[in-house]
Order: sequence, then structure tokens, then C-alpha cells
Amino acid sequence: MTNNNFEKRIQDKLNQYEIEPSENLFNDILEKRASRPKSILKFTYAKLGVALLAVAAITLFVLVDTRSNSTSNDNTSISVAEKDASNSNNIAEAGGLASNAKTANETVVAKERLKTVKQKSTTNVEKQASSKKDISNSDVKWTNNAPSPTQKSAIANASNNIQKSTKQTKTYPGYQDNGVNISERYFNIDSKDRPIISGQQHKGKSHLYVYHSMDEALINAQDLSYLVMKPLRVIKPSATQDQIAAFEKKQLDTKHKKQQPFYLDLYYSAYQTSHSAIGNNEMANNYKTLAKSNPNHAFNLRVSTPINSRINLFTGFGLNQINTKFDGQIPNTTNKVHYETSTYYINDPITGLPKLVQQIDTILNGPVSYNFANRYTLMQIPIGLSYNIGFDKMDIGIHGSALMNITSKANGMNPDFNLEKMQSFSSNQKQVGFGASLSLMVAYKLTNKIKIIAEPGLQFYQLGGKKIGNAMNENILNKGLNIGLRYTLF
Amino acid sequence: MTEEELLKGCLEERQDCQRELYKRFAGKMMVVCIRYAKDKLEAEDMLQDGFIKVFDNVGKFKQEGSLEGWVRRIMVNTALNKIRANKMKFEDISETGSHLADGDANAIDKLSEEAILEIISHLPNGYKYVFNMFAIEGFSHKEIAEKLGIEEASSRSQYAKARKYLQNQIIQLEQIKL
Repeated sequence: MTNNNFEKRIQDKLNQYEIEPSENLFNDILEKRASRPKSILKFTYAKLGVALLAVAAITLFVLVDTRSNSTSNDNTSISVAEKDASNSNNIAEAGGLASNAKTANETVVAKERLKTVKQKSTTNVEKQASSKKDISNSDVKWTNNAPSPTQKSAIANASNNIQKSTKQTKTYPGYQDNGVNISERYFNIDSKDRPIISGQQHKGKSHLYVYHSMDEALINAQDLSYLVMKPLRVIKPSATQDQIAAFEKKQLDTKHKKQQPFYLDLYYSAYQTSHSAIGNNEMANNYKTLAKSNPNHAFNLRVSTPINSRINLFTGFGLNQINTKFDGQIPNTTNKVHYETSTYYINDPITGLPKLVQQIDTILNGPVSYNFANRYTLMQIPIGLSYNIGFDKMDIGIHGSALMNITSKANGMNPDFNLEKMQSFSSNQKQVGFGASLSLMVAYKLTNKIKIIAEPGLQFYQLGGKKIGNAMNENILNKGLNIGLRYTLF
Repeated sequence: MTEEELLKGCLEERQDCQRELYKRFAGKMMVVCIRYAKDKLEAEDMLQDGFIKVFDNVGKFKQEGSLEGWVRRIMVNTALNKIRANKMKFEDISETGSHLADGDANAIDKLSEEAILEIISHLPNGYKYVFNMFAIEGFSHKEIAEKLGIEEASSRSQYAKARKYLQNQIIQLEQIKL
């Protein structure tokens, strides 16, 4: 039979053939169409993950942006204005008393008060002017006086001079407080009085102690009681008396309590999986011959906190869907031999003598092709440590962790290499396995609280086993890249 | 009712037109589904899902080919989706020692359609899908490999084995009849 004849004849026969389906099928179709929702959004696992990641990123961005705007701009301007108003009111009130005084005594008292207030104000300006000369990186004086408009202009001038001479500060064009730039500053959180240090002096710890602060001149001259010492917080010039008292108490406390930041990382992992069967028998070797590396992906959440200035402790969880691919040919090294026996009766009119003839049929099998994939759904829980270095806007962290893998679903194929057959397996049984991971994180600061993460890394663990229906245990090596966002919580 | 009127009516969600479209193609499409399904029940499920897609997407038919061809494509794709969802399983046919002889060209003609369908449906799943797609639907091995997620070489080898097996079965069936 020629190739075309065979296919064409079958095609012709079957294409014209009809089988009537059940009578009610058409009504079922109409019913099914009428009963289903109008639009169903079908998300695959990957699309859902990407969508969640995008929503989380946008929400965090909006939240942080709103918060930083409301704290840095509104609070600053309102409270500075309040302070100015209060200072001017003192003078105006005193001046008003003087002009409205009805008696000579009242006039003298009022004039005395006006004089005192003016003197106090002038003294403050002089004090501030002299303090500008004493600015040092290791000594910050904390006072509780608010500047007047005159003081402010003097401070601003002095501040400009200092900026010109030292050039230690890096200004953010977006941050302005009454015409004076708010600059990035580092505080030595390990020291008792947390002195200001320059960008070069933080010794790779900017991942922990980056602060937004005002210019040094303002810090020394202005009311600093509102400087709430929380890492990564924008200065709030609206501290209450209680906060001031608490702050002063803190300054006196020799055992300084640090506020530990928490880092929340949300990231997507794309990686290439290499896998290899465990064992050294014929079956394992066949698995090894067929194993092919293939891409996989995961979504992860990680929480970390510093246990000292360099080391972070971290944990979290990841949702993975791992496919292990097998593709290739297994050569048959031994030929199969079939023995068949036939009985012949020769020259025997009744029963005769039986003669046994053995027929040996040798089948030469060629290589057999296999192509299948096993799929595992697993949750990963890492527990580990990271070593961190910070350089201004860039953080670098080396992460090492132990991994606990909980396999929740598994399905795939078990090949029988002897019978050259495949048998499927499927399991919802949970199985716990262990592994390890190592990665190098590079984080770049986008805002005070958000950093973007890129993290190449390796993961090694074992998968499979008879509990979940797979014939083999496998070693898994994932080489990949994590990309996501780091949100800093306090 | 002309094909154009039928399509227009289906677009307007008129039940009489939908019923007419169904009547025209249900029988032939049932054969398509049976070729891929493991039993009649599964074939009817495929047919139901396929016709839902046909009614949902009737506006997308561009009248470049035949309506029957378009409906058939939808049925085949629906059947393949169902197969994929049910975790496709490839089994091997154990070959006998002797080589399969080429059969008589008229052997197929002598068999009923029902008998041919029966033989095809008894093929192991992997062979059945590849054979249906290549011999009857006319897909290339490359397309089959993409749709079933297998290698092109696997598709070729599975088809060759399936073909040999079918030829043998047809000849045997014919001999039994004689």
C-alpha cells in the first residue's frame, strides 16, 4: 500500500462518516452558554504572579510617596511656620504691650519685656553664628530654641558658606525646606551621641544608617529637639515636649537601643534547572542520559533583619513550579531473544513420536526515544544569613541559606526501560526535602524605603521519591536571577 | 438557509440558526471527537465545548475557507486542549517478531467506516493522536510536535509505528472476514 493511498483512503472514509450525538446535546450547549458568566479572565500561574507583583509594587510606591510627601513637606512647613509665628508673636505681643500701655509703670514693664525678648533673639543669632564655626562631625549640640526669620536668614547664609567650603553634602533637588536644601546625612548609630559622619565615613554601612537630615548649620543652630532618631526617617520638625524629653533621656542612656529595620523583599525568580537522578544503577544512568536542563520560575517573599551592622538574618517563602525535562534516546545494548516452541508429529499414523523444534527469533531493537517531563509544585522556606555592605545608594548582600522544600503536588511519567513503556504518576501527597542556596544581591535605592533588587544565585536540593510516585530521586541545581523590590519597615 | 444567512443568524444569537448550524455539522464533528476521545461520553464533552466555541467565535470566521473546515479546526483544537488537560500519556506498541506486510490497496475500502474508527480508537493514545493529526487532519510533524509538546522526531517515529500497526490490523480484519 503506498503512503498516499493509505492516508487518503482513511481520510475519505472518515471525513464522510457521521455519528449522531445524543439528542439533548444541543440543548445542553445552549444551557451551558446561558449559565456561564459573560467574561471570565483566565490567568495562568505566571500571569497571576506578575500581576500580583505589579500591584504590590505600585501600592508600595504610592504609599511611600504619599507618606514621604506628607511628612517631609507638610510637617516641615507647618511646624516651621508655627515656630516663626510663635517667635514673632512674642515680639509683637511685647511690642503691643508697650504701645498699648496706659500707665507709666505698665509702659516700663512692657518695654523691659520687649527689650528682653529682642535681646534673647539677638543672643540666639549670635550663638548660632558662633556655633557655625564649631561644626564638627563628631559633636552635635542639642538645643531647644526655635529661630526667628532673622535667625533663619543668618543660618541660611552661614549654611551656604559652609556648603561652599566643605562640599560634604549631597543635595536632593526635590527636598527644600524654607529655601535650604535638605541633604543626605549619615549618623553613626553605634556611638553614644550618634554624631553626624560624612558619606565617606560610614564605612560601607549605608544600607543601615542612611538618614535624611538638614544642613549641618541648621542642625547646630536650629531647634533640634524634633530630630527623632529613627533610621531612614525624614526629619520631623514637629516633636512634642514628651518626644523631646524621651529623646534627651535617650541621649543620656549609655546603653543605646538601636531600632532594627526589617527588609521585606518581593521578587520573581527565573532560573535554569539542571537535574540528575541519584544513584548508579542502570535505571539511574538512563535517567541521567535523558535529563535535559530547562527554564523554570518562582515567586518569593523574604523578610530580613540585621543582627549586627553587617549580618542580616532572613527567612521567607517561595512558590515554585518545577519541571524536570527528559528527552533523548536510550540505546539497547542487549538484544531481546524470543523462544518459541512448536511440536511436529512425523510419520505417525496415530500419535507418533513427538519431535520438538525450537525456533529462536532474535529481535534487534534500535535506540528508543523518550520525551517527557515531570512537574512538581513546591513551597520553599529559606532560613539563612546575609553579609551586607552599603555604598550610598547601592547595597550588596551575599545570601546563604538552608532550604526546606515542601512538595505539595507532583505528576509526570515513569519510564520502564526494559518494557519500553511509560506509566504516568500523579500525587498530592506532601513531602519535605532539604537543600541550600547562595546568592549575591545588589539593591539600588529608589526612595527612602524602596530598593530595586537584582540577585543572581544558585539553589541545590533533592526532589522526588517513592512517596510522591516518582521512580527516582533527583538532584536539582537551579541557576537563576531574582528580580524584585525591597521595602524597608521600621 | 444559505451559509451567509446561517452565520448572520448565529451572530445575532438566533436559536434557529444555531440549531441549523449544529445539525449540519454535529454528525461529522462527532466522528472527529471520537477519534481523539477515549469513549463516546468524552467525545460528546469535546463536541459540546467545541460548539460553544463555534457559537462564541462565529464572528471571527472570515469566509476564506469552508465553514466545515473552520468548525473542524475548532473541534480538533478543543479535543487537543482536552487531551493536554487530561495529561497525555504515550505508550509503546509491542511489536511482533515478523515484519508487517503491505496490504491490499482495497482492504480499507472493504472495511466499514465504523470498523476503521474502531481500529483507530484502539490505538494507544500517543499513536492515535499523532496518526489522527497527520493522516486525517493533515498537520505536519512540526505542527504536531508543537501542539503535543513532543519532539518532531518522536512524532515521526510514533506515526510510522501507528501506521504499521493499523495496516496490520486492517489486513487481519479483512482476513477474518474472508
